[in-house]
Amino acid sequence: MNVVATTIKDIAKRVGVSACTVSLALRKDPTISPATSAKVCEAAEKLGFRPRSYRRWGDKGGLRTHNLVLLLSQRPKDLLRVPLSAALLEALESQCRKRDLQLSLVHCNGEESLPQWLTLDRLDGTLIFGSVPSRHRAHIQELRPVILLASVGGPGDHFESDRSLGA
Amino acid sequence: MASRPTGIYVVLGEITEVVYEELALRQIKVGRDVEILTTGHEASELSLLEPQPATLDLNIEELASRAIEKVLCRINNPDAPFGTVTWVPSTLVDSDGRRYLRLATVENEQEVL
Repeated sequence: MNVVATTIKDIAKRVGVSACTVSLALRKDPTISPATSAKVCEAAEKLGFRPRSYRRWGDKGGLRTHNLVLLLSQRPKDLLRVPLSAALLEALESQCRKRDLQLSLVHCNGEESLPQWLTLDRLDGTLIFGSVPSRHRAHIQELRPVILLASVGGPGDHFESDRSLGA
Repeated sequence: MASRPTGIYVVLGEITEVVYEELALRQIKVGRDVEILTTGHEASELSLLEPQPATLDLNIEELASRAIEKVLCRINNPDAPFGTVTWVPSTLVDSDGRRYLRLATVENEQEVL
């Protein structure tokens, strides 16, 4: 079955702006208004748009950088006070070490921008622990594959303990 | 059927000690009047509680292992549909340390609609 990838032109047509505007909006260029940017991101998500960088690297498959990033909605020092969270961080780090992967921790709240180095050509994948700030969704969408741990909403595969299902 | 709750499920294990204290303030005795089930299996502080509560071992190691395996699987199969939910089953550990796998919530994976 042939699958036609969504392009920037498709998003532009859907939103009613130029392809150039879409490109700028997806890169969070400050010249694009927040309203337009939000419309573009929403359309991109609905249409299943995968950025060229992802298609270029991701379609080949396989590890390239051996780097994973773990985005945390809380500061590490706060998470480490909670035994369960501390155990999870330790377990993830241990699992990565076993597989010769490097895991970087990045605090990701809704107020600050994500680090500039957080791009797909420097990473193989992304894990998220906690909630995903809506303003970062478009950026995170580019960092696929995305695995969400104890997260509500957001694009990617979700992993949960069944404790929330009750006793 | 009992007219009042016979047990309390403490989802946040780190507040178990506070729950004990609040119950004691109200002359409610754990083990006699009410049972406690908590999720703080990893916390050493639980060993100080008397009587010992039953806990859910959330199998964090397994959850972490499966999450990393999923990342690797996605990296190697970038075109596979994504957006699944995986529930990792926990293990019930009673106050005597006996372990019971929770068969009622065997791990399942489903597509997110």
